[in-house]
Amino acid sequence: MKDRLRHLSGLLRAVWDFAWANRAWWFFPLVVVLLLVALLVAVGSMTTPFLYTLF
Amino acid sequence: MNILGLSAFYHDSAAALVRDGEIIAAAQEERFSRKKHDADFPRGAMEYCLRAGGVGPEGPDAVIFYEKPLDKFDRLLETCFSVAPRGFRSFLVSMPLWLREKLWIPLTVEREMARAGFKLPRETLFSGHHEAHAASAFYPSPFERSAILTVDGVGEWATAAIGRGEDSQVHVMEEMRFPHSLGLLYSAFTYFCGFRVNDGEYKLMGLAPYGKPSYAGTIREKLVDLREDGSFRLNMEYFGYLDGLAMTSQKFDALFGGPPRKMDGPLTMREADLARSVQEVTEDILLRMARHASELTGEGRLCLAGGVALNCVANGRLRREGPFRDIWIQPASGDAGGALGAALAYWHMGCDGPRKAVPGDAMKGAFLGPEWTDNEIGDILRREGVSPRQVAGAEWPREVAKLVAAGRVVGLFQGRMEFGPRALGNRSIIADARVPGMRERINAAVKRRESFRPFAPAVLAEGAGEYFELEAPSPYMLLTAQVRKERLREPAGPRPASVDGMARLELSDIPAVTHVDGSARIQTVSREQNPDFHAVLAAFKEMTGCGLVLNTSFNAKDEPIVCSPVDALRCFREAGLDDLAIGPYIVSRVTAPSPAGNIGGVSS
Amino acid sequence: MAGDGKAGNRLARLWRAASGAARAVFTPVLLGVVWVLIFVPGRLALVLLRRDPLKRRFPGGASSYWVKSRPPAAKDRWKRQFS
Repeated sequence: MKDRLRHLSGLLRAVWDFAWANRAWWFFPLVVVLLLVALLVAVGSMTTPFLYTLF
Repeated sequence: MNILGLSAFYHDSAAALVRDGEIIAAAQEERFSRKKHDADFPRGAMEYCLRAGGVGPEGPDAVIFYEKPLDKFDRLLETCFSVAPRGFRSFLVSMPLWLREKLWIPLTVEREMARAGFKLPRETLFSGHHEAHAASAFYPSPFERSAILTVDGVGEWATAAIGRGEDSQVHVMEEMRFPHSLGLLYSAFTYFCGFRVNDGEYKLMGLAPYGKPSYAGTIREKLVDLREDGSFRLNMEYFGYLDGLAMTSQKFDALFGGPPRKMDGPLTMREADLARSVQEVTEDILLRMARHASELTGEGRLCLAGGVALNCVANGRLRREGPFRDIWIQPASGDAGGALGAALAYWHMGCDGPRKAVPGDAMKGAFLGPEWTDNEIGDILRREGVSPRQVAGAEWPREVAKLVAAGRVVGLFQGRMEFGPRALGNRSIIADARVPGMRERINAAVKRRESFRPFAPAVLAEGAGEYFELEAPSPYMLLTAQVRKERLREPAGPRPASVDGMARLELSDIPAVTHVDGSARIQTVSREQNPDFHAVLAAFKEMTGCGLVLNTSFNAKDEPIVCSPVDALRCFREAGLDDLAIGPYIVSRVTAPSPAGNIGGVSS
Repeated sequence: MAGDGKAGNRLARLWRAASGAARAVFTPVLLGVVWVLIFVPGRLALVLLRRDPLKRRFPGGASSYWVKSRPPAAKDRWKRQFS
């Protein structure tokens, strides 16, 4: 997980450069949104099992 | 300077090591993991290549991946935008893979190298997909300059590319873009005829000669808008790979008279005719592309790579009918070769590494994988409870040839493993191609595969012309040619109407390697490229007068070609081979050889 | 104590299974939201702008479908994850 954070800035940088170089303005925000979804899914699936333990 | 090239995450992951421009090692991951077409990160292959190159914990000087992930991701997203709301299921399948894995390649490389005990150089590098194919086609070739044609399913956006190689520079000039792809067209028919995509294309090519090109007209009219220069558009209404999980759409079904063949379903003439039709169209497209490449570049020679370059029937036609006076084809034309190409591209164009075209080629016979010493093999055999017979060096070729001449099916394991899908004598199963019923026997009992699949001959390079209408060498089994007319035989009675019926015909005096249309997928064996295999063939010729043997890959059903002595031993037992000639040892089944070709038998 | 180890393992396994189940539910839901809010309108935009990145018009009506490739960029292009 820590590794991912370290590489995340590199990835975002690359995504930004891509969008700029290709004049594809939608690319950066879309990839950010998708990565956020991945994050939400990861966090959600790690914490929601908690709910089971409450029952 | 050590450069490690990697391909992964699609199919046929592989690693390759290039040192100062010289190809040191290369291997596909499937051979190590024993998972066919393994697409995971090539751990085993990577470790092998680095160790084979003597790279220590300081790691290689550079690591390069064979394609540009963001361009590919862009293509995926733009495709989604182009088909939404359809395609959600496909989106659901592919997105998690990208978000977890394919966007994080530098991280994966870092982790894997650390895990294997190597230090990662500053950062992971990336080449273009077709650039890697082009590099794998040109740099190992013997040409100082040539045209380059790469054709496959799809890379980032390009599905085919024409370029030029000159001295140490490769550049791509023109391309065709997704979704209009010759590789995907062929794969669509592969799927429709009930074979697995990225695995069964070869089978479709083998099925083609059984059929008639009765659908070619329909393909040209409804599916493909083909131009004179070989470029084309596909009618995407008939294909399902944009928005679905199947290659073809329902409209395709309607056009070709019904649903796709189920994978284990009966093979009918419809599939044979479809195979023949798409093969013919494919050959036409390639010839046009080649002519266009010739006009565009003005070069007299051609280098070929990309998955479609494995279509040896088309290659044979290109060589005979195309505008180029010489052609060189990368033996590992598929994505596995991309690992090699990426490394070579970086050396020559990223590091300004000099190039010296090697006569013949720089692939070292494609023998770039692991090897075992005689002692290691002996130890392994004994450990596995086998007491093998050891044969002195000078005697070895004759002993192996004797077995083959006795009608036995022999597993041959020696030297370095081949890189690329074909077995070229180092991890091969060989047998006498003249024996009636040999082909059926090996198809049914040893490899347990479809009866229509042909076998290929390995022939002494100097004598190839006696058997085949072949003007130039074919060292990597990438070209087909006709068996010489004098050797062909007409079968008695009318031609059977079914694929199975036709598959049983014996159509020449080397029936096991003669395909139903009189052609063969030839491997010419030269003393320089593979002295040991050449010696076996020479000994066989001396004994029998025949200078060729049947050569099929050394593996059992549904497994990749064997890599290690342990794999070989297991396959020897499972596949019911008569003998295993491994290193200086011969292991024989003491029980009698099976019905076909039972001549005396040789005891261990 | 002896019992704890086993209980700990069981808990870990249950947690993993629950995580997997949660992931299997969250993923299609969240991606579905993205699909509907971003990709479907995106398609609409493409249709309105009469643009097709995949150039699917059939027959295409051109004399050639070869496209000129972009010349390779600067020396440091090898570091980039895109061309």
